[in-house]
Amino acid sequence: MKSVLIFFLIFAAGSGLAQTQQLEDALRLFDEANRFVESGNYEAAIEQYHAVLETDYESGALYHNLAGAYYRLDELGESVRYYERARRLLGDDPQLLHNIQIVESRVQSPFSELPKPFWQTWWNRFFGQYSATPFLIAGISLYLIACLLYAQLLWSRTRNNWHRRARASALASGLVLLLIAVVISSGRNSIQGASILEATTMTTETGSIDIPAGIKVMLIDETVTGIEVRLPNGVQGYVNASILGEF
Amino acid sequence: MRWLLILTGLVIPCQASSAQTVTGTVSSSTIGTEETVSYTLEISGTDGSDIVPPSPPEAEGLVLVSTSASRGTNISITNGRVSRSVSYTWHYRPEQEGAARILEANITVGNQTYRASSVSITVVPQSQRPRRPQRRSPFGNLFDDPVPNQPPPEITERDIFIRTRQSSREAYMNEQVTLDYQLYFRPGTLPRNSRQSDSWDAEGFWREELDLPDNQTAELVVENGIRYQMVSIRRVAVFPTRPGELSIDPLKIAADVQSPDADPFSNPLFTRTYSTVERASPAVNITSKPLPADAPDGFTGAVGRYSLSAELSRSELEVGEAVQLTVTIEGRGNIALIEAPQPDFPGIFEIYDPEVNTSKYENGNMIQGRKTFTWLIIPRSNGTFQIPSIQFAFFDPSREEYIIRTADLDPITITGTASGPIAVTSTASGFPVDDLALLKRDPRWSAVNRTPLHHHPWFYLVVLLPVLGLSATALLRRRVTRLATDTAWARNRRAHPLARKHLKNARKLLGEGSPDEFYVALEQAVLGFLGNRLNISERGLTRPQLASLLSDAGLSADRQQELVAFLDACDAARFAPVPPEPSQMEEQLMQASRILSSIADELETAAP
Repeated sequence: MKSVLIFFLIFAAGSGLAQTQQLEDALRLFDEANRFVESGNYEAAIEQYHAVLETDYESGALYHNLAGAYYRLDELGESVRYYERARRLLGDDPQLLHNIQIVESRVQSPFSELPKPFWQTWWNRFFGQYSATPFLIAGISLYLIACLLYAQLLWSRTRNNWHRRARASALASGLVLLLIAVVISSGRNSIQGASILEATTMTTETGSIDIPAGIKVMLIDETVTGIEVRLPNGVQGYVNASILGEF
Repeated sequence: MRWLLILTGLVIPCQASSAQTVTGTVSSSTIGTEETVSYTLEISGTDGSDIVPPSPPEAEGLVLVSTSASRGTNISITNGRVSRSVSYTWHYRPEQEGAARILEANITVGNQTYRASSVSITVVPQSQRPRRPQRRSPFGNLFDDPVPNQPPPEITERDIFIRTRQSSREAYMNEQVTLDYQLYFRPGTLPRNSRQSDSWDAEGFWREELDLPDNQTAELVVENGIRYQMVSIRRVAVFPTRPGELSIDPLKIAADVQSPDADPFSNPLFTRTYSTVERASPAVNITSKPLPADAPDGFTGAVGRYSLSAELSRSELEVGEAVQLTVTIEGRGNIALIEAPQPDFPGIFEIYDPEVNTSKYENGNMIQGRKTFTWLIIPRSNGTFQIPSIQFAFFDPSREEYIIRTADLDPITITGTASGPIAVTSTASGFPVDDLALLKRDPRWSAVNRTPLHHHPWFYLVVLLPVLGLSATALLRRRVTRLATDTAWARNRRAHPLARKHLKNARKLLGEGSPDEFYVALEQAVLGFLGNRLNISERGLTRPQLASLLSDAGLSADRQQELVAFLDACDAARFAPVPPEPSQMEEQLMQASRILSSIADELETAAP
């Protein structure tokens, strides 16, 4: 038993050291990439930002700066793609929103945009800038407190109003926070859509539509003929998978 | 308005043609029954030496007064050019009222024969003609009573009129159509003080006034056998702005003119009598055709034929310095309506609205010109950038197709470092206007994890473990409660552990060589087990009481005898004067284990 514990401790310490080293590498590469941006060498900056991603570490600033470098090279599709990834981590950050507005003005989408459901707008407003972690920690804590209170109820048969309200509210709020954490996590870690990397033609049932680079589409299905996508105006059609940049 | 100046006080010399042309003209297209009309056959471009004297032309409704013609020679010098002409004149008298006609006249000049077209004349009753004053000597009757005032001869549409010449009757939208308004007047009318008498509009057209020649001279022309002088009074280039049948208002002018039939000697002071007439040109109809539907991207309606060029004022500069992009469109068409191309500037540039310069000129009544668009652009970041090619699309009506002109630009190399947002180029939040706020530093780093929370098994463990703990707590609580309230169940649950404990103690005592305590421990193990299983007090039990209880519990007689025999043996060994051998004690310890196991099995089987 003692040897197992020692092995576990050594493994945990080694794993922690390796992760620390990875994070240090990521920060070093990130700083180098930023210096490339400042010197106007955007190709090198993009290469370096992608090297950061290979360390398996990410941040909103990383995607934000990578998108800006792509914008400088007029690769609007890639720029939109990484700004959307940055939006997942930064939410309604003012600088990010400013830059997204600049890029979207360059894209000049010919498509009108269907209004988003009200609940989606509210959700983004209240929870868009938070990660799932604080909600997860708070949710689990309240959930455990509620379970302990219920255990106390079972063991000591404590029956008073304070105890009843405390365990009910702790259980309800804990479960709600856990649900929020799950939804945020699902939104951040699943593919939300894709950006058109190169101007292309979408095949629809009635004809074809020209799509400029930088347009955001929703991914619907993968078929033999291509990827079925939905344009901002709700029109669906098929495009080649190679021109989609998922975010 | 220059044409008005030209016509004011107009005394225009006749311009003779230098080429050999033959025209037949009459002195008046309308005569009275008592009047004569003179017919003049004029041959221009010759000195008359090679002319075969012509015969008078035949006439219908007219009688030739004399077969001999009066011959005249005219030499004129205009703008340094000498022109000669020879004329033959005959006089005809009407036979009756109505239409009359002088037929074609032939004349041979050298070895070529020319023909003058026939001329129509209208003969009216003499009463409808103005009274002609008696011709008299201009010097003989100066002191006579003046001639009573006569009404001025009537000036008809044949004496002066406006004709419109248009370059085309149909055109594409925004294609040029040239209108030339020409004033025709007979030489004797001497129009002056001409002016536009009513408004003129060209609804549905964009119009550009064309210049008239500075030294315009009246041109001699013959229309319907009558000699006129013609001068352009207005030239306009019109461009249809919408498709369909479009109409342009008539151009109306007023001018002071003299009757061509007036006698200059009728007034003793030789003053002329002018009257004001108004004339209007015919309305102009133009069919405007829509442009073909397959217009390319970026087409903004330009029609004509153009060239495109673009250049940067410099290609290497530092951040914050300005560079100018000049796009020039030059060619034939309505240059004023051409819109600025839309260059696709990279986002790092701050763009100002373009400065537009337009210059127009005429070439053969066609509007041509040049339009330049100059953008001032200021880079906010360093690097090398390429402004994509400038494109300009227009419709060429002569080829009836759309044409796209393209102009390439050199890449721009920008050095230096941005000095941060400038006040006038930053938003209220401090971000650059129309440009990115480039770098951001965020201390929040996390491992790339594309697995959502609900796909992790530990998440479900975290949620379910407390539930399992609650269940365990409930079970434990129930067990504790039963242990406290159900003595029989509690003793039964304790029977085996206590028996094992006593047996273990007995083995320990065996090793220590304590026979008395060993047999006490054996009895406690066996009797304690029975007491706990049967929920009875084992202390003070007699053998018969024990047998009765075991029988009630369903234990077999053999097992009872074995138990009693074992207990008796333990008592005998315990109180024997000589302690038993360790091997015997070992044997009895094992026997106790067997008996306990057998009793437990039988009691388990016998339990309901």
